[in-house]
Amino acid sequence: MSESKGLWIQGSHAKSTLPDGLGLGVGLRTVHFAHILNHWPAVDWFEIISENFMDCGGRPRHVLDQIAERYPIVMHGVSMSIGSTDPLNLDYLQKLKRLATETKARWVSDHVCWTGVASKNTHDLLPVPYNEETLLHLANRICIVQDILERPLVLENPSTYVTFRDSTMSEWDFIIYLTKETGCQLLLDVNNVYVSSVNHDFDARQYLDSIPADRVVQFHLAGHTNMGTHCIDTHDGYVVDPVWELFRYAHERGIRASTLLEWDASIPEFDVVHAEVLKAKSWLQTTHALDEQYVASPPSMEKAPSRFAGIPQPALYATAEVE
Amino acid sequence: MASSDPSLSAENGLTRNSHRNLHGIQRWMQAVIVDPDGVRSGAASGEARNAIQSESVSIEDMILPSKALSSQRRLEVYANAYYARLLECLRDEYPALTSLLGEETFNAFAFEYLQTHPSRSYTLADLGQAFPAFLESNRAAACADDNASHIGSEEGASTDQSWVDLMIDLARVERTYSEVFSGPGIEQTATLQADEIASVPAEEVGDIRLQVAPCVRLLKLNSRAHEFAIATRKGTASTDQLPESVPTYLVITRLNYVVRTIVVEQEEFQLLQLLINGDTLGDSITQVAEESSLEEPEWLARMAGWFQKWATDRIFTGFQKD
Repeated sequence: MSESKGLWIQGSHAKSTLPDGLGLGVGLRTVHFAHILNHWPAVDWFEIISENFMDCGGRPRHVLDQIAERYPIVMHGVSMSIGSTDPLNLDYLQKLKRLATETKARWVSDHVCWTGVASKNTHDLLPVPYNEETLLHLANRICIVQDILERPLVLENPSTYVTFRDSTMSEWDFIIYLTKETGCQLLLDVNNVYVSSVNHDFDARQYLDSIPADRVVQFHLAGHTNMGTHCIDTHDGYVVDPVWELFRYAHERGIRASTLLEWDASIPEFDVVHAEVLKAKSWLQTTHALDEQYVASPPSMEKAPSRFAGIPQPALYATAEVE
Repeated sequence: MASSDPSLSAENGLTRNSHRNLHGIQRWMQAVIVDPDGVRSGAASGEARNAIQSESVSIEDMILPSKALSSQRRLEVYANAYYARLLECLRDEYPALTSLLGEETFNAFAFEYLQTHPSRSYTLADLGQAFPAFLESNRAAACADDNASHIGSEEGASTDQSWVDLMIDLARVERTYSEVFSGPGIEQTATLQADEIASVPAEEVGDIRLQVAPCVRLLKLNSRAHEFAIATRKGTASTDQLPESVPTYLVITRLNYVVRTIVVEQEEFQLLQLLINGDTLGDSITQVAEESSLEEPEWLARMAGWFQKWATDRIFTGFQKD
């Protein structure tokens, strides 16, 4: 398995869009607030973590409101728990809808997962067994959520680490059925496809071959941690070449969608994050993994010491600013 | 619906157990991955067995191995992540307390906290809400543990009591910082100016009730813990110089989206408490004045200064007449 070569595109702040969708976006993180407000960088769009803003009356929300006036915003959630057998949280959904209205969010996404049951929340993106019972359960809940939000729900394939004996179908078949049953749209996380393909011993290209291209509205790209025996979706580094190659493969398959880079731990300066997503242009323009536009990462951009060897995302908490 | 994944075919012996519905599987998995003693212990727990109505189901009965990892190791990815994520979140919210205790001791407290206060909210912002109360409720145990190492030493026991006070004070300050930072504020709201009260007819002014800004919190501490909390955030804190154990009265609020800590006098604090509780201005002033040791002229001068300061610090948003 080939891991990151630490590629880096030398400074490019020019407006850059792929042929389709919103172009190349970056996940909005609090550590970049000051940079964004001071420089208004030429990013095509921002994705926010919905839960970090939906209850916030402080500075994060104030900054978001300013950013939403200048950039397209997409909302990405981690707590809908669409796969849980607990009742849907209607209060949460109403807050989600209100935030979407206030930020003029282009779409609202979450994950094909559950986060807790029996009124508890693990704050993890837990996998569901892929079978008919789960499919019917999710389809029913997706329709309810879409009725409440009054828009299609966009669902992301999560990185997963276990396979249930109770699964009777592949993840991609499960997702295909979900889109057919509910009309939901897809956030195709190419890194998650890669991570799960390693963890579950499947062919990532078969996964991409199966996904209905016309349902995909967004790509996610991110770094992960290779543990040797498995991969963990840590969002703490550069996108590795095999993931870029899968991204290009998806594009060759005809999947056209807005593309976003997530970087959630050991977050570098904004320009580094932005440069990482801009690599998408070169990957889609070239047929080889390496290109003379790329140079090795400068030493200062090497990954910082990790807080813990591999906390899967999400692990997001906004720290108070105190004087 | 036919499967296109050959690893999931009936020929491989992976047909579904009809007794395991989705709810049972989810309850089982949650019980297993949050078990404080690990996934084997979790799988043997009554909660896990009840979830799938089986006395003998194993991890391997529920989870397939991959080529590289056993069923148990795969499940441990989630179990490890559960505690790692939530402990990290609590350390992020309580950086000064983490610094005071050291990461290992903080994690031990936080780990115990998660056993009795698992998250029941969609947002991680609520995770640490009950942590100060949890520490307070365990004060006796913490003191007993510390005192055991100082048998026969009154000074040692007193020191330990102060140290536990500081620990709890820090937790209260840091949680308040989080709530004030993220909660509703007054950045887009007009606040009460001193001359607005002056415009109320003298015969009516005693009956008005002040409306407090939604971001204002009052904290009475046993130490100057806020100094350590702020120094930690500035990167200047040292555990060699711990805050003084002395009754401390704080107003914590938010101005221009940044949390501010204002140290106030005891009588000022008492007056604020009464006003914020909804007592009339007249009753509040009378009650505090009666308990004051100051002569009336000095008391009135000091109170006038408080009102000026509260206007500057935007403590109140308005008032109501009965």
